[in-house]
Amino acid sequence: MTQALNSSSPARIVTKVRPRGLRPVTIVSLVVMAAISAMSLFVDGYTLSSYRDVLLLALFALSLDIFWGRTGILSFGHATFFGLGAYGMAVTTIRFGIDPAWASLAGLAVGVGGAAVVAAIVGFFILYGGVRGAYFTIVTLALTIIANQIAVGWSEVTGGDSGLIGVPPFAAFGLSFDDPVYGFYLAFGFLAIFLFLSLWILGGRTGLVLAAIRDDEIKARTLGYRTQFILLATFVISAAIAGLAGAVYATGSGFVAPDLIAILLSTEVIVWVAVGGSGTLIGPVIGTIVVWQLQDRISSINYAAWPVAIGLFFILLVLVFPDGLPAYVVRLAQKLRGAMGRQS
Amino acid sequence: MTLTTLSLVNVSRDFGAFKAVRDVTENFAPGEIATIIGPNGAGKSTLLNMICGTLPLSSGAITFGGKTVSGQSGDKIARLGIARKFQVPSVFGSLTVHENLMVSAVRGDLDVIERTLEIVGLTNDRNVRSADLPHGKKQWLEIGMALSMKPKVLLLDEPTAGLSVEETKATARFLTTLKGQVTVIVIEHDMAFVRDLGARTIVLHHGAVIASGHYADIEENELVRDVYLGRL
Repeated sequence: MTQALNSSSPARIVTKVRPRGLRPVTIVSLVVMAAISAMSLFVDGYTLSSYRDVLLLALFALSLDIFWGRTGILSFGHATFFGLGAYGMAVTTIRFGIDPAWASLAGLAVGVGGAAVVAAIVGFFILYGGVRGAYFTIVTLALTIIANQIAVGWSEVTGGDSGLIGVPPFAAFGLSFDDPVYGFYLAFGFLAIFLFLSLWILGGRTGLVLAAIRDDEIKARTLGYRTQFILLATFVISAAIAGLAGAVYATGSGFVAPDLIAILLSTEVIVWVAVGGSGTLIGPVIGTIVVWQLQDRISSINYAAWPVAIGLFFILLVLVFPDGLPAYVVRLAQKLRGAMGRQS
Repeated sequence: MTLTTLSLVNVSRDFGAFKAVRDVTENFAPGEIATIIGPNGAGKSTLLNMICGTLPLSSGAITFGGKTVSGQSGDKIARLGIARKFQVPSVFGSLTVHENLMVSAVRGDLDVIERTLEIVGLTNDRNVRSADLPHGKKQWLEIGMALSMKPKVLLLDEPTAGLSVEETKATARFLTTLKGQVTVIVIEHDMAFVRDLGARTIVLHHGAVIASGHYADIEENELVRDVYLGRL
């Protein structure tokens, strides 16, 4: 038998891992991203600037989905990495007096690097320490609280409660993204790159290995996988992308404040991912846009109503849609189809 | 493939005051098939857990090809060529049969996957989500996953649990074909299956080896009979 497995003769049946054609999720992603890219033709500069921020928040949601959606481990502290990216950019560009031509790139490096290093240190201790499930979620929740306290308390550097104002628009290689259209396409470009890159990588064997670890980590280890390292690497990459989203977000809004590194944002990003469907990659992008629209409507009625609404929605998600809204809709549709089938 | 000897030297495992495995010393020759039998709680699965690195030893040593592997992580031991099938079928439920083998096969080699599917009779189930497979097919899928790693040592914990009589006989016939190609260590309760394998049989009781030899001799061993009849 093992001789048969070791034989170099071709197998009788050889099929590809998956069809070479585009997968449904890739097609949906292409359609959604094409629709978003055309937005600049139809909306004004102000709306475009708002959507620039939404696309960066969608990139943030994508970063969480790469970790949570694939490993099944929920990080309740992803705002820490988004905030680190934003503060890294703000502190570097405002306080260091770097040549404006290079300030954005330096800020990007500090923001992304800072988020990755913090994720690597925290992730090393908790993932190699065997912390999983709800305990992982609690530890990362605590991380956000600590990071928020530092952002508020270390006022000489972070500006304290007021934050830092005056982050310059993103500029690199002689190009400035001050114009709303350029800013929009900068955000769109980053989102498109990481969305299609993650669809490509996680659509292959890497995604299967992560799913295997999610299903049964001990079994995956007995197949020879360094599961702790794989989880840590995924966590660090996810945090780095969140940091990148935060860093570019700061250059768009022009300021950073402690609410970029707070529990509310950590909660919101979970809701965005859950609404769109965790593990789908394009789902969190759609979820972010949908929930942001909802936030816009609710906040226009009463600004204070949004935190209450998102809190209630979060509880609803946990109790009624633990697998996410799309999974609930699919199950409901299957039930309806079954019921209709029985009636006929 | 170079086959190597697996050696256990005074291997012991304690859980507090309870000694689950006591001073087990055994050598498994390259390509040998061996069965480990014993009543519930004899320490059989604990022994396998120590060999594949999911449980550390309290004392003793395990060597593979002359190198000490005890104390190394489970993933490293697996990469050395020691594959394991768990007592309860352990497959990745959210993945299809084919995807499970994609994960287990060395570098996701498609040829190996196709051959494995044929060998374990799951070619027609390749696109079935493994959580939806019946118990027997899950057992075979897990055996297939272990084989697709091209292991040097195959550890099988109750491979026939939940299988029909025919399936059990087929498993015995199949494992016999592996003789000389891969070292196979099987834990089993089904004595008919152990007899069909006709391999060296090691009897564990209260964590210690009380007999070792050909099944025919073991069957006649008074001490073993007493243990199985509950007289000891």
